[in-house]
Formats: sequence, structure tokens, C-alpha cells
Amino acid sequence: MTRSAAGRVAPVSSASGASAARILCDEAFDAGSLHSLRARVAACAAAVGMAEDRAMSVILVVHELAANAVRHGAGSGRLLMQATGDGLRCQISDNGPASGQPWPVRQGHGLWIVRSAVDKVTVQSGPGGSLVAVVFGANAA
Amino acid sequence: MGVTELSVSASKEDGPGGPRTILRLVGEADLTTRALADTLDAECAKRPRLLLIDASELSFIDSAAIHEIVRAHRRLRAVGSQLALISPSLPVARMLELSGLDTVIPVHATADEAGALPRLAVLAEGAGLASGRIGPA
Repeated sequence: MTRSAAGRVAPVSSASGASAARILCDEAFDAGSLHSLRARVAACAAAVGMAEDRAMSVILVVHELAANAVRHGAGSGRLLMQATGDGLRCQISDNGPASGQPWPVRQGHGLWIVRSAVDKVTVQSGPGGSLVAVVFGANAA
Repeated sequence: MGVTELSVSASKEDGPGGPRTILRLVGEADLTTRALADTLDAECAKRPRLLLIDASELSFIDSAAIHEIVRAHRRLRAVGSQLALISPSLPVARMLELSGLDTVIPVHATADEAGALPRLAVLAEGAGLASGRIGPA
């Protein structure tokens, strides 16, 4: 577990890839900073030489997950973005309050879109909050 | 500046098929931009014959905003009116594709195309029904 500057606990996934890859962005967000979060993601994607149409998907996916944290989670969260061998890993976490309900996957809505656009998505949700990790690899849209 | 900015302007004009309202969206539309939902509510309440949403200058749209448009589409259909998106920017086209809503909301390249061929909207919805990709009610 690592503590962010705000003193909240930011869970770090124990899944492979979370610790070794280069960190591009490690930033808190809330409802009022979603716009600048998107700009930050765009800058990081450009910095690793990602093509614009792929970068667009990354921006959208990170936004949808951050928006979920804002609307259904704690109201704020943290983005951890890392460069992997052939793409990106993005981890969006929030500290609850857990509603106890899994994020619904309904056609056209946030998590559906995320699943359409990424190579891999893992969701962890519990009393302490939620953590979603997505991987954009060589095959992502 | 961390805040999402969207400007929405509405104008009414005459087209090939009759009067139409064009809603022009400029900037970024997401769950924080109340202007979109509020303007759609206001314009739907006027029961336009045809409401066209010019999405050419949207540099970003999220699922919340696209669903405001879907809600407006349903409201208008229920009273015999039509709604279509015209000239979607790349981010908007990408959202329509990823969300599967490209067969739910009629999309046209230009306003005249949307107005002159009203049956295209019906055909687009029919295709959506046939392919089973209509979203939740």
C-alpha cells in the first residue's frame, strides 16, 4: 500500500506489471479536474509515441473509469499510468464508499465501452474502495 | 484549468424537408457539462419537427453525454419528432462505435442529408433492431 499526498491509502495491485513498469502519471482527480486529467493522459500517450487514434481510446477509457469513481465511488480517485513493453497500463482507484454493487456492464455505458477498447481489464472492489486496471497492448483498438 | 467547457447554441432554420433546429456543440461534453442536458430538455420541450445535433466541433464526448442525446432521441420519437447527429467528429464517431449506439442514433454527414431523407433515420433504427444492438430502454 502506498499513501498519497492527501493521506489516503492508494492500493497498489499485486498483479504483474504494476510495480516494475515506468510510471508516466500518478495523479489524484475529482469531479472538477476530469478535464485536466484527460489532458494529462493525452500528454503521456504522446510522450510514449502512441498514435492519435489509440490515444483517443486511452483518454476515453481513463475518463470513463475516473467518472465512475467520481459518480459512484468516493467522488475522487487516483490514476496511475505506466508504460509497458508494448503499450500502457492504467490503474484507476478510489477509496470508497463501496456501494456493495458491482459496476454494471450495460451496453453503451462506461464499463462496456472500457471492455470494448482495451486488451485486458481487472476490477477489484471492496470495503476500502475500488481499483480497476486496464492494459492497452499491441492489440487494443 | 481543470473544468470541462462546452458551449451549446441552438438555431432554427428551414431545410429541404421543412423546419429544423440545429444544436451546435463546441468543446467537450461529459458528465459535468449540465449545459447539454439542460439545452436538450429545453429544445425537446419545444417539440421540433427535426432536431439536428452538430457534433463536428466536439473534441471529446463521454458515455454520460451520449446518453443525454439518446434520451432526447427517445423523447422526440415518442412525440413523432426526429433527432439526428450530423458531422460527428472523430471522438464522437469513436464513442458511437465503441458504445454500439451507432445503430440507435441516426447519424448523417450533413444537415441537408438528414432533412431531405427522413426515411434514413427509420432505416437506421430498423437495421439496429434487426442486428439486435438496440440499447436498454
